Amino acid sequence: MTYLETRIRYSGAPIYEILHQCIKADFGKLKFLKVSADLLAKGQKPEIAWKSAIKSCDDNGFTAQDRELIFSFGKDLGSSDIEGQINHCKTYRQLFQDRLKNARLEAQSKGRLYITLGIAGGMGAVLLML
Amino acid sequence: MDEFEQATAYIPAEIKQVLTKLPDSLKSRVQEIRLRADAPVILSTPQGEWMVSQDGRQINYDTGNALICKKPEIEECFLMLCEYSVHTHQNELGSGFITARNGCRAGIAGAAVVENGRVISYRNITSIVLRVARRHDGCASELLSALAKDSYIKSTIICGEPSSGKSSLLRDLALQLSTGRSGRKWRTAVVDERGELSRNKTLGYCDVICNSPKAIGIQQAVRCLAPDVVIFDELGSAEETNAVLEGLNSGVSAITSAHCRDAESLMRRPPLAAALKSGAFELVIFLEGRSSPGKISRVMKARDILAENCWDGTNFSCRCFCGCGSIGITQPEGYLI
Repeated sequence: MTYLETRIRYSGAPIYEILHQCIKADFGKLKFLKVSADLLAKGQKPEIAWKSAIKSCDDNGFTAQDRELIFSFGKDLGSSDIEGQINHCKTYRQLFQDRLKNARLEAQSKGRLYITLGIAGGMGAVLLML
Repeated sequence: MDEFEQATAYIPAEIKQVLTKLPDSLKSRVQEIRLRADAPVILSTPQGEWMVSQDGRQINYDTGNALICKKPEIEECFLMLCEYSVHTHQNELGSGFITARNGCRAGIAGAAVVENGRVISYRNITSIVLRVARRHDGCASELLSALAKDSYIKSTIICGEPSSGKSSLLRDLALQLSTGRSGRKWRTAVVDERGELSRNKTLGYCDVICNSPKAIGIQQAVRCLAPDVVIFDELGSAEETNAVLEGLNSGVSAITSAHCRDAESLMRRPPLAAALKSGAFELVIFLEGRSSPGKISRVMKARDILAENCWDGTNFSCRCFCGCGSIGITQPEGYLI
């Protein structure tokens, strides 16, 4: 997000170019970026470009809510002036951070649950053997 | 892709489909496509303005079957022109236009967003005027012999009303001078503030400074590019002219354009009159008008225009400016003279 904000403010390049720069920089793992950048460069509407991009990259471990958030971020990217775009990025940075925090908490609690289940299962198996 | 198709590339699909059905004879004459929110689509031609029926015919009046542009379609067209990157065109929007990637230029009307007394953008877009940028290859050929002297190019202002082909002429001059089609290759710098001259890459071997304010661009070109001639579009405001003249009175020739119909209207615009007075320009070319784009009607020497308009060497003493009789001294603040 910081990268996007900086590029929007200082390069003034169109969104598809900024996305291509993102991919080259360090974000190549986010495959949907490339798909959406390519579609936007062809003049596709952002709604369609981002929807297709997210759909085409189902294997990246995002939940349905994550995908929805990425889509709503992408469809309004580029639709306003620089200040509007910076605010857009800031808002979504916060929303993505919240999602990340929740995902970490979930992973932590689920991790504990799986460990507890594993231990209980193991103890059960031992008891059965005895 | 022809010029009409290039202009319609940024029009939403529903309207575009109808426009493509228009007869080729009309398409080739269209100068502007005017979209207004919830109003009929209008085509401007040298012969007048036309509406389009829903089945793709040219009509005079709306009898209920005119092709209407809806508000969401205007918004869509605006975003398409911006390539869905409004921030990229913020500077242009402040001046009320957008130059699309293919060189097509569109004027914008809507609610201005003002910051510190300056328009920085527009929102709630209600009108878009798409200019059909036509190429007039070779239109500058007859002009070249008048402009080129043995060792230099005469500094020139090309004057004409909107859609009279000023930019086309500048573009062709840049091409011909830089590539040596006139016999000699001239080092040519183009300062393209609006991105309109260079967007479709037909400027030959010019050095192009794009999207820079004219005054800064000209000074940069003169200092760093050592050109024989600097070409730029639309000399207008007093502030701009002042800065431009500063950059130009340095031995480099200049060719520019200005919005005015004839010598009289030229002299009624203080910044342009000041440009002539400064001696930075030698020739003034007047174009015929929107009925014959790119066609020259008159070539005049700047000093003849000054003489015709009562320039006595110190002051203007005629109807040209405010009618005060001694404009040179009593110009309102901000003007050069």
